[in-house]
Amino acid sequence: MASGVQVTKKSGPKTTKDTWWTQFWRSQFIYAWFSFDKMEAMGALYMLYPFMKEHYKTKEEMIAACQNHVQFFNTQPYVANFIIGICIAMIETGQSQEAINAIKVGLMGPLAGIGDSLLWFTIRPILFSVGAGMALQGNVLGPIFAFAAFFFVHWVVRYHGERIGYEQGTKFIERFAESGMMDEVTLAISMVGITVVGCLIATWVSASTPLVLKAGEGEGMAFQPVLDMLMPKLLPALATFLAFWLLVKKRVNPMIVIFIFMLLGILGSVAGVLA
Amino acid sequence: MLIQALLAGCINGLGRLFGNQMAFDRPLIAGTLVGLVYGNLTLGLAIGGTLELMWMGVEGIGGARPANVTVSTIFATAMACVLGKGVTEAVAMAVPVSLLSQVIDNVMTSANSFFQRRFETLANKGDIDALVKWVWAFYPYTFILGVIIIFFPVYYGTGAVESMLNAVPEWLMKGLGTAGGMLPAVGFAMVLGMMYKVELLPMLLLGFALGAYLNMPILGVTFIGIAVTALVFWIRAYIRQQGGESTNG
Repeated sequence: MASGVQVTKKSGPKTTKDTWWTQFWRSQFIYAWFSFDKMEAMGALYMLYPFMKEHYKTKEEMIAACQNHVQFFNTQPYVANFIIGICIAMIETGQSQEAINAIKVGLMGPLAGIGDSLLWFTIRPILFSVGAGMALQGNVLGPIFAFAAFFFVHWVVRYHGERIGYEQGTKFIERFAESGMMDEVTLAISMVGITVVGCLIATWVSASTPLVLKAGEGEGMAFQPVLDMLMPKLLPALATFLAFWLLVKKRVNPMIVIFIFMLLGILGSVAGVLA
Repeated sequence: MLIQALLAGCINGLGRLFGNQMAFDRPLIAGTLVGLVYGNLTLGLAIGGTLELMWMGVEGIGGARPANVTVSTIFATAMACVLGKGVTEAVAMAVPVSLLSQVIDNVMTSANSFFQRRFETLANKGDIDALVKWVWAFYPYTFILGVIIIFFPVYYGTGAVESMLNAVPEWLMKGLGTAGGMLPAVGFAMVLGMMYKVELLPMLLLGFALGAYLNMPILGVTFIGIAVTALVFWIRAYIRQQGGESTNG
């Protein structure tokens, strides 16, 4: 974690509300500038520019700041606002470009880890799986719900992240990490998320077998009802287990796993084992 | 069809404006919007929902994405609407297109470095006014690029795609349909892999049992998940408190 920066908000000129909202609007576009070498550098500069314009009066200061912010920056785009909030406080209190850059670089890694696991892999899958489930039943509220709920979460994280960063500096994130709150929050959300995934497997993975067992003469016996008596949704559970095993244990690229499943479906269908 | 193809392109442009890191780029939203554009909301919902479940775990970590789910969803949904095809055909189209469009995406991201170079040069020269102008030029550039990538294949490609789909024999289409039913397993496995811990297995079992044996809807399962999680946390806090007291006393 980055060295502690204490932000004393009272010193230095205050930022106007207009600038604050301009910059919050700009934060939505942080990832648009993504390039392979400097990643979100331009996005961060774009976000900070209104503040820089307000606080750096001389041309030299402005140039130094621009040169500083075209440097490499990359983190989860929603938690970036927290870092930018700290940067704003540092700009207001007139701290050096080196110090600002040190904070940016020091915080981007740890925060990306938090943001990725919480937003990309937990909250979004939950909301969008609920939405997708509704959509598949033909309910137009599904995408609307997913979109609205996700936007709400995303704006809360962005707005309050930036505010907390601005008001409390790195103190907040240090306390958050030390108290173990982060792990607790992740665990709680993961518990709910994994319950939803369990239900999704049973609901939306469809695999059954048209196999008919024939013993000598007569109609024969369909195999699927036998499986259902053993355990409903046995084949979907097995398919998910296979995908999990390939992805997590064997570290196979997801796109290759998708191709394996397509091949499996085609071969199984042709052989008359799967439907 | 011209207007629809352009609007479908705009959906991709919108996603690109936000760097494909917002909700607009997700299959569920993009698919629904394309369905709306082509006046076939039901099909848009079905394709968007299916592809969303399939690609649930696909996200760029540190910028690297395995597949471009946005372009492929928009393309497949638009094609299915125009040609009057269903979800099976859309999934069959979407998978190869997602790989191809990711290659194109990487080329375009590399092209962003050109802008980055410009910005750096201007910053080092101290030409802040020009820097601001270049920043503004980037918006329309990235949006239009997103529109073009969808517009041309969708507007001019219908014939080719139709003959390609017609050339697919029936047994293969049937197989792809079977595969399409199983593909959400990959998306769920991806998400599982990211959250997985042995301690979470009971919750997975709970969710699966509720879905498989009781056919409970997702939202109901979410509520039960929240309730059980809250209980576990309260019990844990209680045990901790008790433990604290007994060591003190």
